[in-house]
Order: sequence, then structure tokens, then C-alpha cells
Amino acid sequence: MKVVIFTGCFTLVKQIAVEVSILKVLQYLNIEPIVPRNINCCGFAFRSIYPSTSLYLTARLLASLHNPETIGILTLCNGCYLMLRETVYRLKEDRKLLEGIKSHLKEEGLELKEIPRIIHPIEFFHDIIGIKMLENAKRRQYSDIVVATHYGCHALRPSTTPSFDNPMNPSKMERVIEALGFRTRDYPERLDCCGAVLLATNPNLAMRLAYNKISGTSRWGFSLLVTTCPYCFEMLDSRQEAIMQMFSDEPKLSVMLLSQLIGLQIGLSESDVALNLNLSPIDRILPYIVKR
Amino acid sequence: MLEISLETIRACYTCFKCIGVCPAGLRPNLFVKAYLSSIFKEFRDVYEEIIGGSSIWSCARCLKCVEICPQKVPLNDIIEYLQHEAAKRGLAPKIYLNMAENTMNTYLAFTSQTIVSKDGDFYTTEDIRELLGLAPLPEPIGNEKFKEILNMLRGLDSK
Repeated sequence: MKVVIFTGCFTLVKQIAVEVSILKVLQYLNIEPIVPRNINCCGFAFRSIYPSTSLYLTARLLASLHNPETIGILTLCNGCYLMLRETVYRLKEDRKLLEGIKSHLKEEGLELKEIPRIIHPIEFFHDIIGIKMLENAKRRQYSDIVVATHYGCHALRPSTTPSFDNPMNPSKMERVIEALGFRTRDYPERLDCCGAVLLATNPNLAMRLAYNKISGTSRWGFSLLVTTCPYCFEMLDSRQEAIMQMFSDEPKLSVMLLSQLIGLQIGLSESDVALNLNLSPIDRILPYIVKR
Repeated sequence: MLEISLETIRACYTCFKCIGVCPAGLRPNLFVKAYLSSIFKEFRDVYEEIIGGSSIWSCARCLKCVEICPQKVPLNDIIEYLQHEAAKRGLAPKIYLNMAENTMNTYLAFTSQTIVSKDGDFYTTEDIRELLGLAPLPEPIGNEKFKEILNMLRGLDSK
């Protein structure tokens, strides 16, 4: 099986662990990743300011990333995932729009022959790899470890554009984590926003949202929070210390990427999944997950 | 920009569920009012206040208001419409304009970053990618046509 990997800008330049860990997990599962170099920004950040430009940028990705020998485009960032699924939906609905975009693409020497499948990492592990496969791959049962899931807003909403799970009550990430031998539990902040979008325009409010998410989640006694999105990871992991300091609090929530947790559970090393790039206090949970 | 049906907007009966769910403490129902005034003459003051203010740029795009709305008012489309109107008046945050400019010049919205490891080591994006055996960043070579199309589209979007 082959799959195209689309990292998006932020994973490419900043959240390197997102890319490293998924590539290692794919290698273990004997899936061939195609990582194209001719990528561009999807335009998510400035979509309201330059709507046609953003639409073109995303459509350009559909054309340049499509590879008929693969199952589709595994999109690592939630923002890019929303842009891609929304653009697919709009281009399928609007023939005139599609033709206009095709003519611009042609000027660049690109062709949008068919619209590829856009795959979210959670959908990939749940629907394509499958629960059975993950259950068979797991090394140990961790009955004591309760994991909090964080899907991120743009993986699921808005429900007007079809996604892979229920927009207000998703469960696929829970099933994946349970297949790995961990426990999960619902909590009031589960679908709360990480605040990343506001970093550009209102950083104080962005930090406040992230603080609410981190402190709210930790009070329910979770050992670990797991996400797939590089932006959510930036807020909840990379910036956790700064955020907690801002509110006179301490870092208290271990955060990992889903692909890192899967990697560790199938026997990959800490360096394989770039665990040295996690800045949240994961040391307290590692002895229970990794055999040293 | 998506077209918004007026019938859908007028379905808002100000139940304030959107206010209750907004993590940024915004009042999305006011955005509905402002949108209506872009078509009718009423609420013009609300429109001017919203377009010129900071509230539309404080939306975290969590999209919870869209899901919670019992009347299915597309609040995300309304906010984006108002942001676009503000942008046309030159009121868009500069950071977004820079990101679009970066994209046109380098394909990416972000430039190289400093990455810190748990052990306190500092890396540039290029260094850590090479160290971990990842492909280098895309090179903006032969992107003249891309720039031309993007420039043209940005011009259309600004009108």
C-alpha cells in the first residue's frame, strides 16, 4: 500500500516530530509513504482575506499531490485537512469553479485529472490500518493509564463539510487508543479549542484558551493527552511551560502525538518517534510506556 | 467566498446559544446583525463597529457556534465575510498579509524556525530536517507563473 504524505507548512518548518513519527510508523506497517517536495501552503490562515487565492492554493495541492497509485493524501495538519476536504466538496459541487481553477492550473503545467481522497491520521489508523491490526501490533496492556484525546476543531467541524467522525461526539481516536491497550474517558474539555488560530491576532487570548484546555484536562487525573495536529501540539506541548507560567501555574499535562504513542507501543524507540522534541512533562509517564 | 443565503441568516432568533459556546467570549449574534446590514440599511452602526473593531479577528475558528446553532446559521461564513470586508478596507492584520506574501515567494507561509529539544539544544529547521533524514524544504525555483497567478488572484480578492 502507498500513501501520499502532506505535512503542511507548520509541520515542515516547526513540528518536525509529527512528520518523523508518522514516517517511522508507516515504515513499520510496511506502507510506502510518498513525500512530494512540490508542496505549497494551503492558504488556511488568510482564507477570509484572500478567498480565491486560498481556494487556488488548496486546489493546486490536489493537482500536484495526487498520485493514482496511492490510496490518497494523508494530511497531517488539521487546518490543511479542513481546507482540502472543503475544497474537494466545493469543486465537486461547482463545475464552473472547477473549470476556472483548472485553467489556471494549466498555466502552471498542472492538471487536476481526478479528485483524490483526503485522509486524516485518525481516519487512517481507524479505518485503513484497522483496529484488529493495532490490537495485534501492541506489546503490552496498560490498564492503569487513562488517555485524554484531543481531536482539534478542524478535524471534525463544520459538519456541513463531511468528515470522518461525529463533529460533536467523535469516538475513532478513543477506539485506536483502546486498541493499543490504554484506557480513555470522556471529559468536559474534550472538544475545546487549543487557541492556535488566535496566536496571530490575539496571543493573550490564544494563551488563555490553551491554559483553560491544559488546566481543565489535568484536573480529571489523565496520565497523558494525545493529539495529531501540529498546531494543537504547539499550544498544548511546545508552549505549555510558557502558558502555565503566564497564569502562575506549572506544566502538568504530558502530551504526545498519536503517531508517537503508536510508535512506542509497536516497539519503536524514543528517538525513532523524536520524543526529545516533546517539551511537556512526559518523563513522568514514560517509565510506564517504554521498557528501559 | 461562499454565498450565504439571506433566508438562512434571517432564521436567527437570537437564542444566544452561540454566545454560550464561544470560547473567545464573542457575541456571534452581533455578526449576524452586521451581515444583515450589509444588505439592508438597518443596523449600519453595528456593521461599522464590527468591521472597524477587533472582535472579528478574535474568533478562534473552533466552529462550535456553527454546530450548536439550532437554526443552522453559517456563522463561520458570516465571520469570514465580515473579515473579508474589513480586509478590503485595509484593516486585515498585517501578519496574514505577510503569510500570503511568504507563500507567493517561497510556497510556504512560514520561514525557517528555531526548534528547541527537551535537552535544551537549539536547531534551525534546515539543520534538524537534515539531521533526522527528512527532505529539505521546497525550493522556490521556476515559480514565476505561480507568482503571477497568485498576484492576480490576490488583486481580485482585494476588490
